[in-house]
Amino acid sequence: MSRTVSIDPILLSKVSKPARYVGGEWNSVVKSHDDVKLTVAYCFPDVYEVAMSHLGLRILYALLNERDDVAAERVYAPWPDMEEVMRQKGYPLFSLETKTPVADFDMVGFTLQYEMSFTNILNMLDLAGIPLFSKDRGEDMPLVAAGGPCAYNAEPLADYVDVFFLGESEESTQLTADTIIAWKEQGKPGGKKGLLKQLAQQQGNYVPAFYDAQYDEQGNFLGLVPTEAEAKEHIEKCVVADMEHAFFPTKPLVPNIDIVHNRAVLELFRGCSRGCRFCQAGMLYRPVREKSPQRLVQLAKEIVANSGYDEISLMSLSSADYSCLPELVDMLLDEFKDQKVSVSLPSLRVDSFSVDIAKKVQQVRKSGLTFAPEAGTQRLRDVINKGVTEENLLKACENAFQNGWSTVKLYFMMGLPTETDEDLAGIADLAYKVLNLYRTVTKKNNGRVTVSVSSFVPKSHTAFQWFGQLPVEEIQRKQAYLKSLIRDKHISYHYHDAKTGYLEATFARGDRRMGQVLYEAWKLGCKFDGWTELFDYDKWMEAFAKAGVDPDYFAARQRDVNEPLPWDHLSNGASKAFLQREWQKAVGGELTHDCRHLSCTGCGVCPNLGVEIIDRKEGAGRGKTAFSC
Amino acid sequence: MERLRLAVKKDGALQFLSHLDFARAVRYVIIRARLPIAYSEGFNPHMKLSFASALGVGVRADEEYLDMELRERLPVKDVVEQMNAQSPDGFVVLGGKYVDARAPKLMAMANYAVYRLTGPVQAGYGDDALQKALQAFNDASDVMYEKVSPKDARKVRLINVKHHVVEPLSGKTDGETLTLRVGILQTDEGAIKPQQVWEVLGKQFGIPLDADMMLARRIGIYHRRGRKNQSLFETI
Repeated sequence: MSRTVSIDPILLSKVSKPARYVGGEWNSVVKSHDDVKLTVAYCFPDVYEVAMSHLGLRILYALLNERDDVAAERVYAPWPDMEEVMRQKGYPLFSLETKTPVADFDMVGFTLQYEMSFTNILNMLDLAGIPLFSKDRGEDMPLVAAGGPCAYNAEPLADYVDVFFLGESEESTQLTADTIIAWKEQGKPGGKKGLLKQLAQQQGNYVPAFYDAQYDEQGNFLGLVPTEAEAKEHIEKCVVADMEHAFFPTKPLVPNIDIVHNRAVLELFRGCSRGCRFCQAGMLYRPVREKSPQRLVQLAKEIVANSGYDEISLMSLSSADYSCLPELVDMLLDEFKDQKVSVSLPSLRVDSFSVDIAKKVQQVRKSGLTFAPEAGTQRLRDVINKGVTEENLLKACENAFQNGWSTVKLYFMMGLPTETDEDLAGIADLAYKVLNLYRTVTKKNNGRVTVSVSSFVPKSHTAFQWFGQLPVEEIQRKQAYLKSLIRDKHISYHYHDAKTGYLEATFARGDRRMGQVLYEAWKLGCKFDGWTELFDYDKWMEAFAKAGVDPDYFAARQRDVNEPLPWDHLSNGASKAFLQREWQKAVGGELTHDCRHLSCTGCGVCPNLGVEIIDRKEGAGRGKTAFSC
Repeated sequence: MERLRLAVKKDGALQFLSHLDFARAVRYVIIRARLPIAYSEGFNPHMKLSFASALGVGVRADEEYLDMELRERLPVKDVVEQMNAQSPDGFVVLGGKYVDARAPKLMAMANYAVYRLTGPVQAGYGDDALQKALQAFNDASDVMYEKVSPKDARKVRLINVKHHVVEPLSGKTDGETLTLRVGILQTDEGAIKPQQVWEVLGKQFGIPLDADMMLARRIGIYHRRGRKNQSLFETI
């Protein structure tokens, strides 16, 4: 018999946004735990509105719930006001569907989207009454799993997570479920360790407890040594080769309160082959695999009918790169012309073509346009392999201004490798050029340019993984310098907190020793670190001191291209040699072309994983699968 | 255009929605039910849909009313069935009636709401004491509530609760739970919130309740004329 948590509705009505905690959303799936063989709690370590906006968990939730023998439920981090009520009254963390305590599930899976949500994972385990450290969890406790982009450097969480899943899980999740069900039915041979040994042999699975980390006398990381026969030396990600027929949920959960992205989502393709050297997602999700426009229109029809949404967002890492975008947009607009359904394109390419598409989809509502030049000078854009010129940007803006747009948002990064003050001045120059262009084109003075600058964080599995993050003071100096150059009231300038970026860097390139820092920080009360109002840098510095770890060692240190890295055993299929080449080319300002349209650039993903680029328009002859629309 | 008035229920998971979120949830139901709803013209078209009242977060409503404009006249029964088949936990369409396009707006008609308020009361507080306290309230000619602006504590407005609570209060205790039945009249000067009546009873009539611990359930909403409450389906 399963327990349920029932929260006094009076207490619930006192917390902010109580609907975050009650479930009951349209298309949520409620099953009795007595009728299934496996129960899974999918946990997102952030607040409801953020968690519900994430597509990955929605896919896995719907996919597992298609099975009669599995119940998958959702668990999100309670906001501090609700946490206080729960701790005061002794309510354990519970699932939204059946209000079952998280500790009663067979498996508890966390998605790792962002390093700054790691403390929330610890806090959620604690609220659930589950011991934080894997070694302290008995056989009665759920299997704690984690996946998502941050799993590619799993080491800071190695002490807390039983098994990490690397890569795309549409297919491997089924195997995991089958494995756990069989293990349970056989009477759990070997206990939890027995199960982990089975899982460790399957593709994409990393069981950190089956490895010892080794360091030299100076405390430098040397490598991981497997301690169990089942532990592989290298773990390669799972990848779905056939995106066209991969599972995609057509009965999306419809939240009762507004969430960050409250609209129907259509995933056009996975992967991105542009090869921007700072971009981790661009490396992790390779190769590009498109769905056909016919399949997408069919999915869109079902999703709109089943959700009631009147807006469809065309989502991908770079949606404007979808090879059949004009055809798809025409087909969608035609399909929904009588239904007041609008289509939106979240990411634009910096060219006129994408403005034309935006014009088409935004016939009803005209929001601002966003472009991402990322750096202020051509030299630096070449270093990061952005492959965008000032001419591209100005042409696109000219097109936009001629077509009635008056607001343009420009995204940049600060603290990139080889960056000088000249590159920062280039950001201000570009903003002024865009604003002056508006004045020239429209003869009006009501244009607005927003310059948004985030601080660059070197991430694992990118060409910049060896680069040292700039000190907080240096980022702050650069932020102030750029501010001094922007003096027009029609240009607004936003930048991110340098301290958050610095902390993110310690985790992004950290090893197992970061686990202790995380624990100390959580004990000091750190949580929701991605939320400015709750982030407390001083507490984090105290945590580093208590754990005896120097944050600069992980964040600021320029690494040798040949030194062992804490994530060398975790692979997205790309070779380290490729990244080393890319790093050398970056320093030389040399570009690498997009492998989707020209020759293979040798990252190794396709041959290593046995997959191919799927471009619905590309001609045959380069070993790519080609389709015609 | 056909103006259809529906009586609906808001409880379960939906009781915790703000008015705006509740309205959005209803719009999704209407789209999923594929009703021929009319939209406003203009730059940003919106559904022609209006509610009788703005229900607060946490307030369950056994009865709420909404008007929608349809492009064609569908049988009420079909609308009710189609919407209920597409409704999330906590939303139920109870019934409907076509009303004249010139009928007064729901917002203007609905001026009387009856609530059941429930919350903890000090153990041992007996029914006799409660009835005495309620009697004192019912007998009082004026009961003043000091409404302090949430934004500026210096701004205080005096509301005479008796101008809004025009029918006698009734209630009972059951162990440590207090239940009250309160009718609230909206006048030209506005209204008073159920929460404020609860608070007044604690502070001025000696009922040992917790001013912050109360859950309201609206059990009826009416058009009140003189001393008579009439259904919002009656538009004349």
